Amino acid sequence: MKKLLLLTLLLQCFACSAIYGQYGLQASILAPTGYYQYVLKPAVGAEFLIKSGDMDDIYSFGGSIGYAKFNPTQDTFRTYATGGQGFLFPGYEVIHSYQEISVGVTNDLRLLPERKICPVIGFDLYFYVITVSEDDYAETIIQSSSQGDNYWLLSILPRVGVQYKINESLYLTGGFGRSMSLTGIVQGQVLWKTFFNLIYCP
Amino acid sequence: MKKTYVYYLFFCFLIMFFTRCSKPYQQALPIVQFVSAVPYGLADTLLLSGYITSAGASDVEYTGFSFSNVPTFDLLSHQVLLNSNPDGTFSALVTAYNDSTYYFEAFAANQYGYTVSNVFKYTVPAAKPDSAPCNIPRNTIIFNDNNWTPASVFGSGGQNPYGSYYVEADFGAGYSIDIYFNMVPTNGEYLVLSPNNFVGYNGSHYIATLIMDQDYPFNQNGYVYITQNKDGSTTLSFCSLVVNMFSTNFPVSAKITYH
Repeated sequence: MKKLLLLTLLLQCFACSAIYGQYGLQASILAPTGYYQYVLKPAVGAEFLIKSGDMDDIYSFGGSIGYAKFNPTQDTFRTYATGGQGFLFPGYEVIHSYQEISVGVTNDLRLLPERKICPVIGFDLYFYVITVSEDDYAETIIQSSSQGDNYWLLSILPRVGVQYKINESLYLTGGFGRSMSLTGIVQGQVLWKTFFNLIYCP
Repeated sequence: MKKTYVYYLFFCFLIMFFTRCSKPYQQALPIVQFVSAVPYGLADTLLLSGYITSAGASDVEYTGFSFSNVPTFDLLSHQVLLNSNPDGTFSALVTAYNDSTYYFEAFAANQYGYTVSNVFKYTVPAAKPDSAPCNIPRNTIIFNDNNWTPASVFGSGGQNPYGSYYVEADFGAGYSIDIYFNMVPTNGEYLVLSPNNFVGYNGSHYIATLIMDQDYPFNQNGYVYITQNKDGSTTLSFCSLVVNMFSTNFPVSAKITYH
């Protein structure tokens, strides 16, 4: 499944390059909800985007690669372990770092492509590699320290936004979406993503 | 230009809405309260009760109690782990001895972590002194309607045929009674069982077994009563227990004091 996804992403990136489309940078604010809203603070993420076609096309697809670093909401979390022994062993968890590298497939639908200000609907698919460094302790049964354990996660991101044409070769898009994990080997992640990107069309 | 400005304001609002701060971790944890510790029907047993006032950000998975004789203690100390109840209440029976002070706390855990309640201090009341419900003169053994004054009475621990403590009353003429317990007896009543059925505690009563002249066990049923006196002595009494000797049932009553 992972190989198939990577292959799809690569093909899409090559396709974008072949079409000689648009490329740009995106800054986003990632606000965790659900489980992670109590554990991680909102983070700023950065992405490099490449898209097919032109800024006036109704539909364009593309790819992205990005990075975000989250900070924990507090130094120590009061965790525990049960270990099936009929006892609750008190413990703690310290998250030293929580970072994400994302590779995504983007799809944009411009509702009024001929206008200077144009509403956009998007649907993205992201593959995340999440790197976590943490200390785990539960009295008498767990004492572990991990430096950069990797987990993966597959998420979708439906989003809406508005595109503003600055000139014939530059446009700015702002919007928001909700990233929802589909599968992965880490606790499911849901977050609000508010983004701004600046795209250059040669 | 005006339109652009409206869009700009709209986006500012969206950013404010969707990048609101994360929630405090403490809000994700359950809030638990230690409700009460009350003596239960069984000897040396307390019923502990707790209550989840807030489940936190996920369902409560575990609840429980910990306690100790000292005010500062570890969550694993005498821990009782329970599953959660949908109504938020939880309770457990624990062993706690009379006239002792204990410190209790309740705990609850959900997906995010665990919390503990405030520490609750409770002193288990001493058992009331108990004495046989019949009128017997002090320091007297009534055997087959004859009054005897015991020549010696003593209590002793160590190696015994039954239990870990016994009281022996020697009332002369070669007669003696041994009363066996599985503990140093304190204020209260002790159910009499035959030596064959002797256990320290049968689930509802502490047990005593009596043997006459080291050979003749007393019949089952009836009670031995213990009173701990202020001078440090202990008075043992019983009414009309029956011992079978030489195929004859003899009633025996007593009120004896020993140190």
